[in-house]
Amino acid sequence: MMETTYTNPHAPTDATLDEWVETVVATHFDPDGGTPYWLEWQDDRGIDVRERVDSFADLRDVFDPFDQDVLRTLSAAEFAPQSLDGDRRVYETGGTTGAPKRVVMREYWREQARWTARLLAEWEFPTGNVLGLAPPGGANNAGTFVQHLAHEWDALPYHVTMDPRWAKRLSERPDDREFDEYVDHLLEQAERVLESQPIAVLFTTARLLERPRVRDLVADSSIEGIVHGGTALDRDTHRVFREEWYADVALAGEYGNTLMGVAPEAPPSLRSPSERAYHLDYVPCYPYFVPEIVDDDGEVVPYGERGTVRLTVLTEEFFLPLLPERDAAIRIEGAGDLPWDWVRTPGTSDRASEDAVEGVY
Amino acid sequence: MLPVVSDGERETVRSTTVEGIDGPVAEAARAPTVRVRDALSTAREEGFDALADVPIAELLDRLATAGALFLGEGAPSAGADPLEPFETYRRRVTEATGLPAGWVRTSAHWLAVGLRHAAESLRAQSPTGELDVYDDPTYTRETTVGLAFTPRVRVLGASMPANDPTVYAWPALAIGMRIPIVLRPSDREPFTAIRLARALLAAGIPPSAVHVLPGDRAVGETICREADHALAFGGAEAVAPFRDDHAVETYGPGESVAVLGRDPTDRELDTLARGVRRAGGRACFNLTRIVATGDCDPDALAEGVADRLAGADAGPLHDERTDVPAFVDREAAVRIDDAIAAIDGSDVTAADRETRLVERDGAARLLPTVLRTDELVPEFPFPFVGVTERARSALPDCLEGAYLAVAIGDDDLERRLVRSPAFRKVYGGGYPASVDLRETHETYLASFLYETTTYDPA
Repeated sequence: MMETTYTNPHAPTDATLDEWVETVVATHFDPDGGTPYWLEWQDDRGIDVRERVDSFADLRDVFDPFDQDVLRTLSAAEFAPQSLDGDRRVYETGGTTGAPKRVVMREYWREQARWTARLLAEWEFPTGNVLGLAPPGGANNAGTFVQHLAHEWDALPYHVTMDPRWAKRLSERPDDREFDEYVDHLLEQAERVLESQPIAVLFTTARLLERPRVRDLVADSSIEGIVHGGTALDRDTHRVFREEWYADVALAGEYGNTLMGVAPEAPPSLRSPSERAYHLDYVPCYPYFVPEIVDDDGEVVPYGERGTVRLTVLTEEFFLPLLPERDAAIRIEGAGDLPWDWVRTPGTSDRASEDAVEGVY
Repeated sequence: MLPVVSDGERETVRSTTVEGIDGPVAEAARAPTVRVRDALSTAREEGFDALADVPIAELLDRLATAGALFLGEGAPSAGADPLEPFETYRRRVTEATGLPAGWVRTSAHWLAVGLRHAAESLRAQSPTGELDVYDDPTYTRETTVGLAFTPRVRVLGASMPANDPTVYAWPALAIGMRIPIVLRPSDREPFTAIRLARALLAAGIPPSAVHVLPGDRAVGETICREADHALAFGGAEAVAPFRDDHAVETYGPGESVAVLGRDPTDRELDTLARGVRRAGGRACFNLTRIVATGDCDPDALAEGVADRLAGADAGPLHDERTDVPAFVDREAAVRIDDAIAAIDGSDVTAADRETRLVERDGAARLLPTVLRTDELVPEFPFPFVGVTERARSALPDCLEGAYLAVAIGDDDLERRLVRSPAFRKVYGGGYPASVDLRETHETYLASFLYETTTYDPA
């Protein structure tokens, strides 16, 4: 059972989870300005979702597991509230498990950057100009997030953009050479930026950090902190990163994706890496998204146990209930002023790993 | 925990359980990929230079000492921890692989022989036939042609198998040739790798030159792809990613073969049966296929080999007299039994027993099997051979890919085998009596670790 009475001191809302569910449902099921897809879904079933949903727990009574194929085929505007106006954008997932999924967002990534910056402040994480090394630009959210994160720090974003779909195709080839050439192409661009620009924070993937050339690049630069995300990181690699390869800089992970948002690594002041046996503990942006860790029957697993991630996203820009994710993770208790459930060491589940090519982004 | 050995011993946060016949045998570390890259870098830089600083005679003395230490003999150099007793190592290998005690001991012995007699192997691979070319690479040919025998790589990687400890002699010989090694042992048998590394280090081999990284299969793949040159041991599936990689020597599957142009003598039959049975039938040099051609009667040949295998001992695994290995995973034995049953042919050994798959000493065994068949059978990890007949005109092309070939009673065919680049170890007249590390393993290490260059000081 999920605890729903907490409030998040770093989020744009001070609502509890249950209160926030009501707000979001009221927005998306508003007959006048609601979301076309959800209004039609409601009509098809002959129910009034606003009547039926007062709490997070009610979502399971009303909604089935969300079929993510909807986001692959639906016109993106149909999944956004009609009341959402202003400078909206269509964001697409990386497409590592099939055709990309699309959602419309306006402020969400700015809010996620603000949340991340506030949590990193608890780390006393360095701030300043950010170099995004390989976060995809264009339709993907990652480049946008880097831009907003730099702006939160009143600093400049720099970008070395990767095409994740081309990288994915290269990584599927039996011969690694073309993939390596592409990575070298990215690193050469990063080196050129670092030669002349005062970069304080590197934002990149764990997989790229495994390359000695990136280690050397960081050691010879002005970089003081690294935020890594996008790919799973095993505990032994994490330990080597933290204690050897990148021991001289601050290192923080983030777990997230286009549909979810960002769960930054928990501040070490609340639980140090050695205390958590080098697991990566991530703090979801409660109450905006709730990654529940569930068993095969869809029940939330006890603390300390592994299960698959079932994601619910609750924003006034889009509403995504009970989405079965490809990731498996361990459910752990939160701590300090972040007491809601955290997510430990997520990675591609065995079930999905045969189909997915992870590790590109 | 069986640690990562790379500039010291390190345990990892994650580990894997090495399962054995009677339950878990040990926990083995999981080296992350970044540790592989550190190991390759250290080996390539400090390791290569450290080995270059040791005179060849001294280096070979240290290898010989390591061989003795591996067998539990001799004393480590000052300050080094002693190795665990040899018998403890032996029992763990038997438990984890099902290889009977006698075969583990024999195989470990040959590994130690390889280390003790590394000088002979290095001389055999020297362009001058002498060892001093490893200290001073320059030499002269045809009176005035100045040449040099120089390393073409600075680190050798290897993804190692679990079938036979002797195979570790080949990467260990690279140390004698002043090339550092980075190895990923099989998860089924990491004991030999760790013991060898400890023996080498205790004997005074520089720590920067010896790296053993137990880890996921990706560790082996990274080693093979990123080392200057590498050895990939294993079955067809394991070595497939490297078949077209010129920087990786692929060793496996063995599918060794004997070809007979006439009926064998009793002594020749004895050697063939030994070629099926030795090392528990799991080594690349074990005979998988015996081919009758010309005047050789395949039925009598199969009967003759079967008679000699009938006495193979499937007793307790820790008994030195036991021949027949066990399967830690009973389902694997069932799958192999089913696969053999699906081959079109007759089991010549079936008359002596009720079933091929038996339970002995608490573990699944597959009893030695001779199949008289028209097919060229695949390799299986127990004493198993298919006896078949082929027209002389089809030979030796239909046998390409064999690790080792024996030719009996057909001198012309024997010469064709020797001339064919597809056969890299050819023995005439019978199956060889022993492992001779002066010979090639598919090819000489020197053929890819070294190259001949020109050096004219004038």
